[in-house]
This record gives sequence, C-alpha cells and structure tokens, in this order.
Amino acid sequence: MWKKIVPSLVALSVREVPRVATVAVVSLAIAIAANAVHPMQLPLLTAKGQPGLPRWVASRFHAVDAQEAMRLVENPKVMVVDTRDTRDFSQQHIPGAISLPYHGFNEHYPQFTASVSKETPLLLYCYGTGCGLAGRVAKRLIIKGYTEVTTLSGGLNAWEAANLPLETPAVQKGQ
Amino acid sequence: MRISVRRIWRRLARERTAHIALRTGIGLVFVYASLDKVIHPDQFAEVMQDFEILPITVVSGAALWLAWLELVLGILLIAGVWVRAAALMVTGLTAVFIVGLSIAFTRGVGLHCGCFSTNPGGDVRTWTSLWQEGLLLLTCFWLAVQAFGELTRRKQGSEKIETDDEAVRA
Repeated sequence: MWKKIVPSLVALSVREVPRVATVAVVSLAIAIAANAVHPMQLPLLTAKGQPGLPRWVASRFHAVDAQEAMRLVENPKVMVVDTRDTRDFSQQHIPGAISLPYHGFNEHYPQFTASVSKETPLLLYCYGTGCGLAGRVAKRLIIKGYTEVTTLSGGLNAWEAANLPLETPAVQKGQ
Repeated sequence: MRISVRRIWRRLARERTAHIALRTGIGLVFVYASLDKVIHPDQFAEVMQDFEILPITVVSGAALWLAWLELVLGILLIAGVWVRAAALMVTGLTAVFIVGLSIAFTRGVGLHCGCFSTNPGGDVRTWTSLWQEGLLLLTCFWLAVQAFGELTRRKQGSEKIETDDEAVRA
C-alpha cells in the first residue's frame, strides 16, 4: 500500500508548491508585522548576543567581569542571584547568593519578589561563558520592573578561575 | 441508476465527515500550540536556541516565523482552505521537529520541547516521550493522504456521476 501512496503523494505534492510557498511567505509577512507592534520587538537577525533578547531590554543591563563582580558582592546593598538549577545552587554558590533558577522561574518568582524590592541592585550569574541563563532571567526581571540588573560575564567558571570565594552549604561541608 | 448515485454521494459524505473531523482536530492542536509562542516569541526563541541546531543569528527570526506559521496552518485546516498544502506543511513541520528533537537527544541536550508552552519549567523531553510527536506525525501524514485521496475520489466520483447521468438520459 505504502509503495503506491508515497510516490503518488510526492507527485501530487509538487502541484501544491505554489500554495505552500504562499502560506510560508504570508506567515512570514504576518510575523514581521506582528513583531513590529509586539512589546518585545525582537531583532529578526541577532548579530551578537542572545536570541530572544529585545534590544530595549539588552540596553538595560550590562555584564561585568569577575573582579568587578567581587566588588559588587562586597556591597551589602547588592543582591547576588544564582540562576542555575537549584541542585547546583545547593552544592556551591557565590557567598550570599539566593537562588532564582531559570528552569522554574515562574514558580520561584513570587517568593523572590516578596523578599527583594524592585530597586535592589542585582548581580546575576549562571554556569559559564556559553550559558545564557543569567541573561534570560535578567530579561524577565527587567520586564517585571527591576531597574538595576547586572550579569557576571563568564558565569561561575570565571568566578572560580579568578580564585574568588565560594560558599558551600553546611551539609556539603560536613560530608 | 439513481440508487447508485445516491450511494456514491452517501459514501462521499461519510468520508468527508471523517476528513473534516481529522483536519479540524489537527488544526485545533496547531492553533493551541501556536498561541503561547505568538504571545511570547522571545521565550520561544530561547527554547529554539536550546535545540542548538540553527545558527544563533537566525533563531529569533525563525521563532517568530514558526509561531505564526503554526497559527496560519491551524486556521487553514479548521477553515478547510488549501487543506492539501496545509496538511503537507504540518506533516513536514512535525517531521522536522522530530528530527530536531532526535539530534538534540543524541547530543545529550536535555530540553523542554516548547510544544504547547514556552515556560522553561515544563516537562523535559526524552527519547521515551518521542512517541507523542510520532503519533502527531502519523496523524498529519494520514490527513495528507486523506486530503489527496479525497481529491482523487472527487474527480473519480464526478466522472462516475456524469457517466450515470448520461446513462439515465440515454
């Protein structure tokens, strides 16, 4: 049966190419038009940076290196936010950091926003150079109204490479 | 002869009902799947980036386009407009999606499929959950077969009816 169906389907499909192309082009046109009026207004082509990051959001936070991040950590006003998974956070993290994982942001955010005011300066970090989780969480926090957001360039890898201190929970230390 | 024409018409009507139900069902699935992506294209772009298949340069644009393409295809299927083209495209999209998931799994990338929600806290997809996408692919393929089959049947049916009418007139 399939030996008959597949070739005839392919032959008939060729006739549908103009309609397929029309649907594809019309969808693209609608997508571009909708994006122009959408609050996010994504750049269609991302020359650098992260996909899914609107320019207006990207302009509202910046990345700092590990040494600059250390100065921020020493500032008691700054809240350090770990965007990695909670399991990794529980093993080790930057001293004083609280967990707001990207995977599970919607579930953890109510607790976060109840304890951290929107004017609090935030330092976000994730795993390493290629890790965009800090940027993704920064975007969500900026959209929700947080005004002072900074990310750690190179993430925890850069922090460790600079021999800066890490906090390991008591349970881990005891083992 | 009249009985024969009526029988053909009834059979066509029966098959059309099943076909309409199938295309409407798949259309609703695609419309539902597209809504969160259309509302949150930035989050869908993040999901697409996690697949690590497309160059980063084009991920945002592709996410925007795919979200609207799914919606347009769903509406076309529900409305019954250009069904053959739409059926082909949903089959192709589902096949490409399965290939994308398989490539990601092979690389050991754990990801959320972003099928119906762009929430990164959703279920992580695995090899064992691929049967769901496989089932959708089979259904879409069957719709395409039905859509082209209906075209063929309609042509054959109209030829048959014309022959019957000529016989009645004779």
